Amino acid sequence: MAEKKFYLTEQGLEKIKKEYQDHKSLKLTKTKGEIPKIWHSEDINPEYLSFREDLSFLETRIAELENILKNVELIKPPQKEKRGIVNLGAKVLVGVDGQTDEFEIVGSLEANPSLGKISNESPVGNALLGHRAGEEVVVSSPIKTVYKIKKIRYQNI
Amino acid sequence: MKELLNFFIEVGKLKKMPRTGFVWLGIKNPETIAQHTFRVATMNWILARKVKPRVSLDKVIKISLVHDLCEVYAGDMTPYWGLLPKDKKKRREMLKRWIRLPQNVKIKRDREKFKKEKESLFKLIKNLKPKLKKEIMNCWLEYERLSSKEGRFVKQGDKIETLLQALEYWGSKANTPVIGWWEEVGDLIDNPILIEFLKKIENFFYKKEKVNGELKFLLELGKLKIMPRTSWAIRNVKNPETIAEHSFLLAMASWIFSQGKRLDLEKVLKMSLVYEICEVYAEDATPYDKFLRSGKKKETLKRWPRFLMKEKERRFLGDYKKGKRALEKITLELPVSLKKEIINLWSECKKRKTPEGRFVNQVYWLVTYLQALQYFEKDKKFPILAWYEQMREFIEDPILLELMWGMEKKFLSKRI
Repeated sequence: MAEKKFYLTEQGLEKIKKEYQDHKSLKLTKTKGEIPKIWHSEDINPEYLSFREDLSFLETRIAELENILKNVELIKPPQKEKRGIVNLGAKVLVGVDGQTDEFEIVGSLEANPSLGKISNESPVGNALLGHRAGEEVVVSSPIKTVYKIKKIRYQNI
Repeated sequence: MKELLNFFIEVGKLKKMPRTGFVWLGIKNPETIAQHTFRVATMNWILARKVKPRVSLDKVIKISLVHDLCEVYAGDMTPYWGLLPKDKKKRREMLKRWIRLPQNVKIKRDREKFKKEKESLFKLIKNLKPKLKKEIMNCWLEYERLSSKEGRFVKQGDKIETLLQALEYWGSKANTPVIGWWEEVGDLIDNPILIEFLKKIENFFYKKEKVNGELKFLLELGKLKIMPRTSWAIRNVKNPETIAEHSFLLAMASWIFSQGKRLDLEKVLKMSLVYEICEVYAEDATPYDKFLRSGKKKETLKRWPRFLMKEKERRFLGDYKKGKRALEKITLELPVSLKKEIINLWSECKKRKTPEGRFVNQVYWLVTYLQALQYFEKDKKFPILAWYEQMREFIEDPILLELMWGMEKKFLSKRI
């Protein structure tokens, strides 16, 4: 089975890279210093346990980040002729039932709908992809919610 | 998927089932089984951390979540079942003390109770996939038969949580039914960590010593049992779901729906249990807060409120800061490593920073949506459209989306 692609904006990729570096140096600092002794009198030393816990957390996260970095696909602004179409990385201004909403379409790693960043795999994100300003997008039945695309823009353009 | 959803809907019935012992003893609106289970799971986790040699924390949480599932059909069978006199006064007198019976009677009654509860649990899980069915049944058996160290720990923690709740209802006054629970725990508790915890309970309630550490934290958590979720309260739902009930379902759902995913289950479970605890101090914020003050309540609640990115960012950050401050306050007296762990778990979920955070955050919304759909089923005036719209932006995990479609198929007619 092909590995899952992780779509990231440049900003998102920088964050992941930084987190990866930070975790690696933290792991190094932790293992370089004095490792707490396993046994403290007759019991397992709680400091040792906490050290192991921290280390295993760090290692899991590092492995996760490595997998992301291995399978990353950078979200780039599209070519000029395609900038009028909603794609990953687009900021879309929409009208919904008389209200105005704004989304940024991102990959699932960066999605946080409370911040307006919606995943390309969510029903709304997915439905908006490929549409142009002025078009109306209906998002799945049984209830008809119409998203009228007012404006599409891409960062750094 | 249909089986999973039906199982989950049935489990949700525990939100409406009050604990029998407290009903019999005349407590008005006593805690529900779901509320109790939420604190049992959280308490057992934070106390089991200290147990040596170590116990499996994800197992402790899973057994805690499962321990009362059989009550969906069997009801809450207390040790007094079948023995209470009809006369209210006599009944009350009997309930004041822990029931003492000859050993052969105890064994006979235990067998009967076990049989009835096992059948009930089997009925509840019979349509689940074999692996999950086996896991749930084994968790319950370990608790019921005290056949693992985790099962024994949960059984003891379960009784302590009930005692704690009884003390919260009646306090330390003499001649109250609390004595019955003290007698019960006296017979059962042998784990040194739990014995130490019981001592703290005693010192706080009877010797009026200052409360601190885990006990203080758990007493604060008890407030969530009666704290209704704002989203339902502002929509005038009668007897709305409380935060503790929602957190119980969230933990249950996160576990069950994560089957087959490459996630750290212990983290998923802990994250689900702590995700909403900041509400003790932060209050349950909704995106409608500003509008509700403007007087256009009814109209506004019909749809999902829309904002521009900057405003969304501002609101999220405000909410995040408020939540974090509340969490710092509620975890203030916990051991530093636990405090740090809880805040990190919450933050990962709130910001969707890790795979576990992204998953639990979406399950949180899905479980909320399920409750909204159930309210809508009862009252067609319930503004379901707002939830419907929001979910299409908030949920993207393929398994959760499939569940969502299943929920809509079950609860929404074509003409809305």
